[in-house]
Amino acid sequence: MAILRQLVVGVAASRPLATRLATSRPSILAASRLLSTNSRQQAQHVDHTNHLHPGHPKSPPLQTSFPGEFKDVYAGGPSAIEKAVHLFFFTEILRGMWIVLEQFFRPPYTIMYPFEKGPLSPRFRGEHALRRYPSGEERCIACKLCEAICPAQAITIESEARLDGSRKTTRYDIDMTKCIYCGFCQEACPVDAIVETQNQEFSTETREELLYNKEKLLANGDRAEAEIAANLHADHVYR
Amino acid sequence: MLSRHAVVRLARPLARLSSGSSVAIPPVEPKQVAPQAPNYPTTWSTSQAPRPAGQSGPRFEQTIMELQPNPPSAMQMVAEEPIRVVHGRKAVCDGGVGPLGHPKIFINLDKPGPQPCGYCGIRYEQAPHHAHEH
Repeated sequence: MAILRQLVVGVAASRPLATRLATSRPSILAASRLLSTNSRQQAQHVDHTNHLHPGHPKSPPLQTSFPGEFKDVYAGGPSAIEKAVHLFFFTEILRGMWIVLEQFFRPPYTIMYPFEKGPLSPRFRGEHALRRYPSGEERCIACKLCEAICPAQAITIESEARLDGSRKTTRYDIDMTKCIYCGFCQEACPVDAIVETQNQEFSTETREELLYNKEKLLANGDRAEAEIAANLHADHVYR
Repeated sequence: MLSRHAVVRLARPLARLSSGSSVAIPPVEPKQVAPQAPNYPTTWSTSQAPRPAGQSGPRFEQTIMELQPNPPSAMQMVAEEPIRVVHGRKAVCDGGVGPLGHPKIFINLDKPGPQPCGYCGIRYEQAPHHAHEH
């Protein structure tokens, strides 16, 4: 009998939820999302005023009441029956399972990784590349600033004049096994020649395939030039 | 400039012939020299490492050279770029793509012939005009 009474009390306590569900029938999914996961519904009102005031309603001073008069200090809070209902009917577990249920009806967060990929920042620092100007000329002017700033000392540059008199690099090696992908090289480059592309999938089978030379870096740049240019243009206001 | 290219291209086979004839080593079979770049056959700097051939040693014994990265030569691409004719004595070059180009430089065009931009290699030349007739 007591259990029945508690059940009736519990149903009465959840009556506002049911009425709210019923009123918002057309968007029942949105309503159910509001019910459980909206923080506004679950937040308890905290009264931050009158903490030091002696006449605070939540903490009545003992001197104001007469000695023989009983004053219920828990008058505003949930009753013992409500607490017992929440305790014996596992309502926290039910609320948690409701969240699980609505996650079941939502689209999944997982992606089919090799075929679809998540978004990457334009500042992502992946595999290196050497860029060219639209005329086809290499951007690198062999100033060796990247070699100087590289904290892992992974870059080796040698430069020499070409047959047409332009001084360019004859050797631009990056040891990708030493590189820590800090991005200092592309920050140091005055002509945006060495950049780190958004490619993060360049695992190899042998170690020496990770010792990149100038041909490999230029080929990387030729392959990803549109992407690199778009990323740099998206970010050029902030640099 | 073109004459220098021609001299270099001629000099290499000549040097190989002369060394082969003077030293009495058994004649090795002519090595299949891979072109250095898809648009340029030989190296373009003095100490540039030549592109290794497929059978040039144990290091490249099982390497498929056709699959190795082989970007085109920047020197040849710039040489194929047409010369910009400028009216006036100086040319301005900033790479042409706004903030993503190179630092803007002014190129003096007083000397005859095309003058290349030191960054992007585009050549500028002063428009031919009749000197001091106006």
